[in-house]
Amino acid sequence: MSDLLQTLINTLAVGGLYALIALGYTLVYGILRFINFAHSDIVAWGGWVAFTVASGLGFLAGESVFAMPLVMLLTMGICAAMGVTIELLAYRPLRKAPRLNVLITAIGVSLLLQNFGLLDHIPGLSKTQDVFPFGNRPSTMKSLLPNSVLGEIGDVQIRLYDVLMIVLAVVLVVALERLVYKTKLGRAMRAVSFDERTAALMGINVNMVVSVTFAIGSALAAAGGLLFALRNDLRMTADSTWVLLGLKAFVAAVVGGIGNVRGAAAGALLIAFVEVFVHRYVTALVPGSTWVGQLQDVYVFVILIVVLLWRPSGLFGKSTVEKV
Amino acid sequence: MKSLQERVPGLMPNVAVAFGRSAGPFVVAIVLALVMDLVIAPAAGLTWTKILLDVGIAIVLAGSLNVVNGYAGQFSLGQAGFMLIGAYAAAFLTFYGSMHFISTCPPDAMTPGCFTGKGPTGGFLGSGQLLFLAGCILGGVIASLLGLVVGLPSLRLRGDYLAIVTLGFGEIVRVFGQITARQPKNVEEIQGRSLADLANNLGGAEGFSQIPDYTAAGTGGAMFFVFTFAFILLILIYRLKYSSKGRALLAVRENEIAAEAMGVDTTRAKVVAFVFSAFFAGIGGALYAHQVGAIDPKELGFQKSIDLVIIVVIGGMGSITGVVLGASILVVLPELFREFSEYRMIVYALALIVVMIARPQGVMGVQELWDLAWTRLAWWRKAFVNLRTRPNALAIAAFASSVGSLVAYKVFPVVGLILVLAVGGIVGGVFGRRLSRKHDGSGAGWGSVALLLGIIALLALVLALAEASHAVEVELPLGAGGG
Repeated sequence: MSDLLQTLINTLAVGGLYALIALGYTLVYGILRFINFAHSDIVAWGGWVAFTVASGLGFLAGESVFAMPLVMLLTMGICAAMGVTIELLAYRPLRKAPRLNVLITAIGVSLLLQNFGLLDHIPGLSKTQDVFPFGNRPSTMKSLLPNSVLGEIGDVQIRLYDVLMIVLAVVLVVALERLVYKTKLGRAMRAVSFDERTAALMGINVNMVVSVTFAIGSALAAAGGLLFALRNDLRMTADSTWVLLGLKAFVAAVVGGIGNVRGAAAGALLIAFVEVFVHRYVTALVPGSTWVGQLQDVYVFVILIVVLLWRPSGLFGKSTVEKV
Repeated sequence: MKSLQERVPGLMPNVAVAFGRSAGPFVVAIVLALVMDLVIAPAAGLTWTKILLDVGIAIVLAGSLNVVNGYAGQFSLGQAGFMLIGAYAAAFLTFYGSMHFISTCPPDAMTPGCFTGKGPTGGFLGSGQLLFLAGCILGGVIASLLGLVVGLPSLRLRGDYLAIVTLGFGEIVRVFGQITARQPKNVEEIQGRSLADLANNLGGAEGFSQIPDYTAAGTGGAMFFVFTFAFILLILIYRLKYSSKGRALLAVRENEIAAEAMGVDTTRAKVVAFVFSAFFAGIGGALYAHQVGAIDPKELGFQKSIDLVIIVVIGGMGSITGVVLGASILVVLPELFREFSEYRMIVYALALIVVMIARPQGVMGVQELWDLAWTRLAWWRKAFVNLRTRPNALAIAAFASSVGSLVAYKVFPVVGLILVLAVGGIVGGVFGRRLSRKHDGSGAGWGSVALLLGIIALLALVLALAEASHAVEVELPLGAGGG
């Protein structure tokens, strides 16, 4: 019983994390109709920037009350600026290009961010290792908040980070839903998504709307990256952990029906459920087997393929009919 | 009723001539590969032989990817998955099979050098190398079966979704590779178990090692195998491109609905493209594994697929000579600029973005080298008469300037010279492209390449100077390569 509860809590926490990241994918797709491959690298940069900010501000040892919010806000701000810059430099020139070209550009941006993070040092700067978490030598993420036990049910401990992830995800999903459907900006976003040219004729500043979308998406990604780094006490290298995290959130967005805020949340929960819950109990079903335990990622991709084959635009996505 | 060809005597092709035309190029390809093996490999030395082999393998892999990504326009990110399957199948046959079928080793233990393919294979095309050839084919066949499985979803998905699904397939293959059982290295144990029993023993996360190095530099026949497959692939995709089937694929790429309306069986065309591509990707994987001598599933993941996509995109989606050029440049440049190996992927990423913005169809587009205007005499005559109206001339000059800056970087490390040439390449490239847009559009490719190489040279210069200004006691590292 306690095991079941623990697994459920883990599922929800992981689902919350995926939801945070998936929202960014979904927002951008909803408006520009292209998959921003570089989003997962913004997540990684969220972790790295948070590390740098935390080191730079000197909240290293003292777990001050202000440390966490301050670092989080700064990180989100910096990453939002990054997202907007990327859109300006790499995606805007291709606004009218075929989707495949934008996709390839996005892959290029993703590689750029990823490999910049892998650099051992920046030429002309010395001792970057202590401040920047770059390179192959891992550094440990600064603890900004004590991961204290909030309460116990049976022998299950409910930890602060898990609660933080779940709460943050729920709050942000609701906030985004309201933003998109209840505000003027949201209406502008939906208008741009529906028909860019008509929206522009109606007096909507399309470029501004797109920039704001990228800013929001990147800020959410940064928050996700920071939380992931904190919770997993991640050693901050640009390794496959980040790539896989981004990929799974991406899968969540696609499975839920990309372009749909609620779909992203549902997809994130489904992926987390498959990855944590199903994995936990399938592994328990086949005792003594070493290889079943390594199938975690396979479940995620199998779900992706099955859902896409069954409903090509995702569970909650609007199916489009191709016209000549 | 008899067909037209049978009724009119002159239309019936001579059997011998038809056969010669059909098989001739393949014979030439094999002879050429043999010449490369016997003449060029010893003359080039180990380092350059290895680079040439790398180029050949890259041509097989990127050329096969080009059929799906370039001709059919189905964006696949799972090529490394096919590669991994082919590599496993071939290595399985050469490693376990050689102990089963040839049994060239002393039965007591694994002796070093025993399965290196140098000694006990019985000379050129001896039993070991025949087994390797069978392994390549087996790898190709198994990979093409997987290609069928991956090709089927492409009927329902397009664009970005297909990219994700192929990516997912690649990742699944990688994970399954990582959970296979350990690889026994004891000859007695291997000979004591049947091949079917060993099928799961592919090394798991540790990788499959001690693969005979049939295609490594220095092994007799390495060049022959790699370039035989490379040339055969090039002939096949050349014939495909200029045949009705290839036109059908290009039509699917341009507009699927229109292609269908024109009577193209789009389903069949796409699946055939996937299967063909997977077959050669499997062979490429086999060649790769026998060059490296080991298979590490982590190495053949998403990243490797992206590497191949970069070659295809930069070379030109749908261009055969473009892919050959792309493969050569992207293999040789990193070898020459080893001191910047850390920045390799950053430069590739920048190149990808710049090419997509400056020239979305890739440097060559669907054109081939022989389609370009400057390969024709009339063009040169005209260019000579009126140089100003020929944007090609400016673009090619810019290209020369950019290449010059890279050469200068290696050979005469004078900062000013490199700077002038690189900036000349960038400026000339930009203006060449702008001019060419006002004219007939020719020369844009050269302008783009000039722009790209100029940026790379400038970047290298800035990095080297930054390093040098930082570490005062170290000399200006520009001469480090020494040409």
